[in-house]
Amino acid sequence: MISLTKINKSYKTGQGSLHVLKDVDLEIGKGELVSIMGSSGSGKSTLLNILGILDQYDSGDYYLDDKLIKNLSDSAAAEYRNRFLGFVFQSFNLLSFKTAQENVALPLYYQNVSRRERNAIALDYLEMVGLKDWYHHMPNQLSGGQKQRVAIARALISKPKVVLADEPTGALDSKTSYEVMNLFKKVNEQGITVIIVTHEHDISRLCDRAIKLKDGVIHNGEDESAFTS
Amino acid sequence: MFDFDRWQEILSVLWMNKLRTIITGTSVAWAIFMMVFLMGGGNGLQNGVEYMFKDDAINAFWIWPDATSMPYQGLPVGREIHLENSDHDRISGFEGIVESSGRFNIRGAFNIKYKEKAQAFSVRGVHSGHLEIEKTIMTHGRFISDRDNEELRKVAVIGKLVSEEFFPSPEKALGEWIDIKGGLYQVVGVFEDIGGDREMQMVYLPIETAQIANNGGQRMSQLLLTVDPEMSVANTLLLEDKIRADFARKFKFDPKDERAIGIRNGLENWQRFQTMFFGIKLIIGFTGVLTLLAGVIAVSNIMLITVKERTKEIGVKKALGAKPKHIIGSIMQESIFITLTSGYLGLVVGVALMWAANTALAALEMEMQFFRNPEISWQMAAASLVLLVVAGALGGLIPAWKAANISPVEAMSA
Repeated sequence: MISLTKINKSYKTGQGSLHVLKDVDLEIGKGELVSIMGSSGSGKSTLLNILGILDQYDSGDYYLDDKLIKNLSDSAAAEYRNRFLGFVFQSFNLLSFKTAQENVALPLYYQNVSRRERNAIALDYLEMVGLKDWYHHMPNQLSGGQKQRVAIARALISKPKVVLADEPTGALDSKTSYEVMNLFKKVNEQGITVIIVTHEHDISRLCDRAIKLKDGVIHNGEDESAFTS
Repeated sequence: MFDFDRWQEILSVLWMNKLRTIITGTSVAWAIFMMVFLMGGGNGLQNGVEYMFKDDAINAFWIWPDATSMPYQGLPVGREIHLENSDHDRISGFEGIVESSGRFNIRGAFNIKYKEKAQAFSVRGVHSGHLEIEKTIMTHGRFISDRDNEELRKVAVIGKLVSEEFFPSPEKALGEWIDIKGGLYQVVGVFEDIGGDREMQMVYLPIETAQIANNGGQRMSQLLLTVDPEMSVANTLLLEDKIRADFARKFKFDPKDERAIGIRNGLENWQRFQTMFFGIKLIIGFTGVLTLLAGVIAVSNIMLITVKERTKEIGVKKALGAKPKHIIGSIMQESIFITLTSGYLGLVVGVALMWAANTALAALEMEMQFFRNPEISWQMAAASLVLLVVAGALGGLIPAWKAANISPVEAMSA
């Protein structure tokens, strides 16, 4: 599903440039539930941005569902994100002026699905995350766990091949975190690839596989303690 | 065009920032209000002056004798020039001249009498062409005719106010005989004139009858002409020179002496006013556009702040699949919406004020010579609405461009 070969990414800084990802090779198969772990500055956010087609990389190749993702125009990148990827953010990122239902329906708006149709579909997805009765609530009337479930429904509505979650439990207590993780597992069981960026080991342990990043390099099979700090 | 989600977003954002929206809107509303107000006022001024011009034919020449101001062929300065009936007959034959009339003003203080009533009014002798040149409006009977002059008839045409002084109604005036300096004249017509009360307190006689009755000889106080309305201003100036040269030859004065014979060229004056109003409108337009520009900058500025505040939200939308066109369209629509709505409000208030001023002027029956019917045409109103849309789009341009360039990575920042 996802194939990275020799991905490099640098950022320009005041003095020179900061080499964030160094020749990263990565394969993630269809239907996998993986976590990406690493301390801050390890490059995991950059990796997630590249996987999410939110940012460009300098060299290497990135194939998503056998399509080369390289040098896309803004519009094309938006189209790919909309069709292939679902995003779940640490701070939920629901639009405050839209109801839960409208928030879930938003990705379909960019596909020009009619308002009536996309709201009907959104209701099905809210039901799936157990929030059907909350469809008309505004985000500020929902708890953190509920917001994240709405966000997951939003990530799923466009039937993505990959769901990317950036510290999805970072703002939640442990009980709610597990509920959310159960939801991700349920999503994964439907055959959708799920990639979760986290620094929490107990969250990582719930995944099939952990990809460990340190100083822009993937270290697999090493001692986990190297990544705790 | 109606996109529920987009409107929902725009209205909720504006509603959440009410004070900011109102202040921004006020700057645009004020700009349009000022523009309407200035343009309406400018039109009022122009209407006033044009109305004054309506009193007399625009394409008229007014010629009056004065005294020489330059020595010529040994003749001294200060020599008085007098116009005579023959001048009228000669000049009226010039090419391009349509109507002509001499004018003989009867001087001195005297009363006009009818039965036991007596009242002082101005009396002047004229040719038949005077009707057109002075734009006299005949309401009853007829004006002085050529036959009146040829046969030296003792007839009079009286102004509405003269008629009101002596007769119960204008109809009753016709056929009656009035006494002017001991001579009896039969009233053959009653007229009105938009030049005001003074012009309606006038009595017209056939010029030659008036000259004879008052020892006027062949003298004329003034000579009035109208030229072909199609004639260009440049050609009227040539005609002016030609007339002055003709008089200079006859009365032996320097053709460059502009004091000997005074000539007022109506078309030239008209042109001068038109040029002046064009200038005034240009200044008003310039001021208006600059004021509007200030409004546009205010809108643009506030939109930039909006974009800055919503950077993360825009990033999230992009992550979810919003294309640049979605982002740009939304910002532009918001900018145009603020500009158009507040501008329309300014327009409505401006037009309402204009209407109120008009009503007040009419209600008070204020005779303001230089100011009349301040107004703004619907074309102008429509044009300003189009201008507002353009202005709104202009104001949204930079913010929209900024928004389109926001990286979707922003969505990831906690």
